[in-house]
Formats: sequence, C-alpha cells, structure tokens
Amino acid sequence: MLKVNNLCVQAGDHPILQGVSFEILPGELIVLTGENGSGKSTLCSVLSGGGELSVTADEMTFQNKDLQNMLSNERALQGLFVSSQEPVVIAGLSWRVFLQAALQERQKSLGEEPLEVSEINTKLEKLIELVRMPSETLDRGINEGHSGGEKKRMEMLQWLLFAPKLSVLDELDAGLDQTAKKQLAELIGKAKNSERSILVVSHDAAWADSLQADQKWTMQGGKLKKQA
Amino acid sequence: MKKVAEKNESTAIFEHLADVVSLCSLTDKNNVCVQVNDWLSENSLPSPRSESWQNVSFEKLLSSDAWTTGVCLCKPIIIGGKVLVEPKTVLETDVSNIQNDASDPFFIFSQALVKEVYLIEIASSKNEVQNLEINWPVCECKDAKIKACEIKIKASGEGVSSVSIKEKLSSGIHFCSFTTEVSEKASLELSFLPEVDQTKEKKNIFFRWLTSKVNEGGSLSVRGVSTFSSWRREVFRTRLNESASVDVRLLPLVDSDCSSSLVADTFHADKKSTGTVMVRGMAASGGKMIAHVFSEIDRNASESTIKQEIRGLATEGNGRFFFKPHLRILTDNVVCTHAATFGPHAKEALEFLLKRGIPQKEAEELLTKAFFGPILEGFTLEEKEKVQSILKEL
Repeated sequence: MLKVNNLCVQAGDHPILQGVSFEILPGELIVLTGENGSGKSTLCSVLSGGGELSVTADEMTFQNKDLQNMLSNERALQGLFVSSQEPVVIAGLSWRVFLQAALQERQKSLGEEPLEVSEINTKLEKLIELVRMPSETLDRGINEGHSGGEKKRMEMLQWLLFAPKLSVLDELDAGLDQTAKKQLAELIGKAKNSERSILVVSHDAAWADSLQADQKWTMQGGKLKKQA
Repeated sequence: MKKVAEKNESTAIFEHLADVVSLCSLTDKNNVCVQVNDWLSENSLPSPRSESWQNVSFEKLLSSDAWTTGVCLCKPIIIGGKVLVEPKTVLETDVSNIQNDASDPFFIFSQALVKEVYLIEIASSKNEVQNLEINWPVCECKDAKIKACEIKIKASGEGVSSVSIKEKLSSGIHFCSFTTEVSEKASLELSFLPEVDQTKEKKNIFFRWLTSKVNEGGSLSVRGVSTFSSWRREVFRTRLNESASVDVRLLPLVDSDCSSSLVADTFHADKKSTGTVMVRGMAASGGKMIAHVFSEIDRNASESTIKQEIRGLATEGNGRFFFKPHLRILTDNVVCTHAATFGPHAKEALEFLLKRGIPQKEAEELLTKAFFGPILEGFTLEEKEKVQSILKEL
C-alpha cells in the first residue's frame, strides 16, 4: 500500500526525519507513538504533501505510484487521507458546501457521474449523527466556533465519508472525551479490512494498546523504531 | 430645480473636468480619457487643460448640440411599487452636518450637470414590503460620453421599502447622486447592482454619492457591488437620529489595473443609534482598492453602537489596498469595533482543501465565496446569485 525508503526531512539546516523507512501492507493497522517533537506529525504532513520542508527519499510510493510527483489533492483522490492535528477554521465556507465539493471531485476522478445532492445530504446527516454532532453544524463555517473535541469529531466525519484506502490518523483521539475515544477505537476496528490500511498516531499509550494493532512503531529523534 | 452654474463658474467646473480626466488617466488603461478628448474635439470644444475654457459660456455650452449629444441627463426607469416620480422637485432633507462635499470637484461638477432631480416617495404600511426597481441609466444614453442623474428617495410608513438600482453602465463618465430620507420607524433597503452582461464593458469612470438621513427609529440598509469600471469613486454618508440604524455592506471588485475608492461615513447625532459598515473587496493584479470608513458619535449620542470592518482579498500578487477605519467618539457609554485587514487566501485554509482532494482553482473559488460569505448575509437570495455570477465572470 505505502512504501517509504530512506526518507529525510529538513527545516532549513535542522534535520527532522532521518532515514525513515517502512512499508504498510493492505489491511494493516499500525500504531505510531513517540515524544513531542520526535517527528510523528512531520511524517504525516510529508505523506499528505504541501508544506515548505525539504524532503528527500529513495522511494516513497503509494499503491505503486510515486508520491513525490503527486500534488496534495491528487494524493487525496488516490485514497490517502491524513487527518489534521490542528484543524483549520474557515469562516464563511460551510461544511456542507465543502464536503459536497470534495465528494464530487472524487466522483470526477473516478470518471463517474456527479452524485445527487440529496444523496450526499442523506450521507452527511447519517454521519453527523454518528459522530454525535448537531445536524445544524453542516451549515456552519468549517470549524467555526467548534471546541477542540468538536473539531476532532468533524475530522472523524470526513474520514468516514471519504472511506480512504490508507488512513493516517494524526492524534485524532486528542481532545476527544472517553466515550468518543471508545467510539473512535470501534470505528477504526470496523474500518480496517483487507483493502484498507490505517496508521494511528497517538500520545495515549493505553488507548493505542486497545486498538490491537498489527504493528507498533515509535518515533525517537526523527528515527523510526519498529517494536517486535 | 437645481441651480445651473453661473457663467463665472464655468472655468472652475471645466477645470474639475480636467481634474477628472487627469486623475483617470493615472489608471485608465481603456482609453476613456481618449474618448472624452475625442468628444470634446469633435464638438469644437477645447481640450480639458486648455486656457480657452475661460471664454466658454457654461449656459451656452449646456444648450449647445455638443451637450445634447454628449451629455445625458438620465431619467430613471422605475418598475413596481406605489411611487410618485416627480422631476424638478427637490426633497428638502437636512443633511447639512454630513454633506461636506462642497469641496469635492466631482460632486460640484455633477451638481452643475444635473438639471432635473427625480423625487421618489414610497410609503409602506405596517407589515408591507414595497419592491421598486430603478434601471439606470436609460438605454438612450448609450452614445453619450457623460451621464448624470440625481434621484431623491423618501421612505415613510412603518413597512419596508426596497429599492433595487440596476446599473447598466457603458463607456464614458457616469455621475450618479442619491439623497435619501427615512422617516420615523420606516425601513428603506437600497441595493446597487451592476448588470452582469456588461463584463466586457469596463471602459467607464464612475462617481456615486449617497447622502442619507435616518430619522427616529428608522432603518436604512445599503448593499452595493462596485465593479466593471476603470476608475470609481463612491461616497456613502449617513446621519442617524435617535434609535436609528444603518447597515452598509459594500463589495468593491477591482479588476486588473482598475481603481476603486470608497468613503463610508456615519454620523450618530442622537442616542441609541446603530451603524454597521462592512466592506469586503478584492483587487486583481495592478488593481487598487481604497476604503475609508469614518464614524462619529456626537455628544448626545450615548448608547450608540458602531461596527466597522474593511477586508481586502488579493487574488493575484500585485493588488494594492489602502484602508482607513476611523472613529471619533465624543461621548461615553458606546460600543465601537473596527478592523481592517488585507491579503491573499490563508495558506492553511488552501492547503486543507487541497489535502481533501479539491484542486487549486476550485479551492480558491470556494475560499473566495467564503470570504464574501459574511457580507452577503445581508443580501437577498437573488442578489447573492448575481454576486456569485459576477465573481465567476471576474
């Protein structure tokens, strides 16, 4: 699914990731932990594209396609989802308008007909209920006036809506209450299947343990260590 | 009846015309000035800066063929509403405290040109909404190089009077002056929207004045979109009496190498008055957006509220923005906020949309819509759709 070989990332002269190599196979669930500043979020950011860091790698492929030659939106349309650790606020652009646009782009990239608006709305209403947010939220600006936990719930909604092939959930559990954390763990368990892989980044060791991951990795000083 | 300029004023007035043409030439990429000069020359009139103007009689000039073909004193076409349209009647509105345009050469020039003032009176009873449409200028004006019009609107009754001014601008110089008076407890909604089918016609220079007085408990809402001009200057001035309110929402959309200058003033004469001025505009490469918002709370105007907000969006690298939010508070116990910012779309917002699969161009369009979202909240559905189509054209 995702193959990374000798990934090095620098901010100016400061190295952040040093020779990181790994492979995520289809259907795998991997948990990545590590101290603050160890490079976990940088790894997530590099996978999603964009940013102004200096990135080099001997290999970085997603579904056998070179990730380095793909724009951020192309990576997303190929099925790579990276949740935002600090979700951005976009006043004036409603969730509904944004999610409709994002879904229609996926249809277009698959060469399929646009979805009916009513069909999208039905999906959104179901998911907003699932993540326990009021349905009026869909007509509010993106993360406008949301609490930290609410922002993470809306990240969950996006993740569920797009049903990506590879999910990189960067501290999606941070800021969630205990009930929501438990629900997230259940959803991760349900989402994992032979075609979908998940990389969960978390600071909560106990919660991460509850996920019954196939592999556990730790990041330390920009280097990746795989636990036995 | 407007006073026609005295003979000895002709030189001064045409010096102002010279100023207009000179100022416009600074940003004029569409040869409006050339057109005006051509028109003057075709009619055997001196060029704007020529000293020969000393010998031109203004009255004679106004009655000459040159003016009848070159200048159109526009009559508005009014559709709908129970209204009284009475040319040559001047609405006596005491706006002396705010109408300080006596030194504005463009205003003087406009006043001198306009010979007929159209008075529109609208009376809406309680729970009633009267919709009125003004098409301006009329189509016969299309060959005129200078177009001028003055309209006075008086809204009374306890209902809502809604006046939609649809502008069909063609090449040349446009002078458009409005005075409005909102009676006690009355509501007047004014909207200025350009017609979309004129997107290719950006060869005009446009001046607008709106001077308003809102009486006790009355409310005035002004919604305007400024675009499709090489060079624009618009002045919105409002005087508010006790418990009166004004909500001004303006969208200057400045195209490449064009210029838009807005002045929006509110004068709070009495207590519990509310003034909101929101300006959200964008300037393309080489475009210049100027916005000055000034609010004064007088000594007797305690418990008044002012909200000023000016925001500019640079769609390309070289848009220029000159903003000045200004407050003058002469009493205690008031609530005032003001803000002014400009710049391109937030990088983080753009990156977020890209990471969710939306291509750059579509992401920028969504963010532009979002930028104008708060200001469009005060617009009607039809107006919102019109703004969206204008944004698409730009």
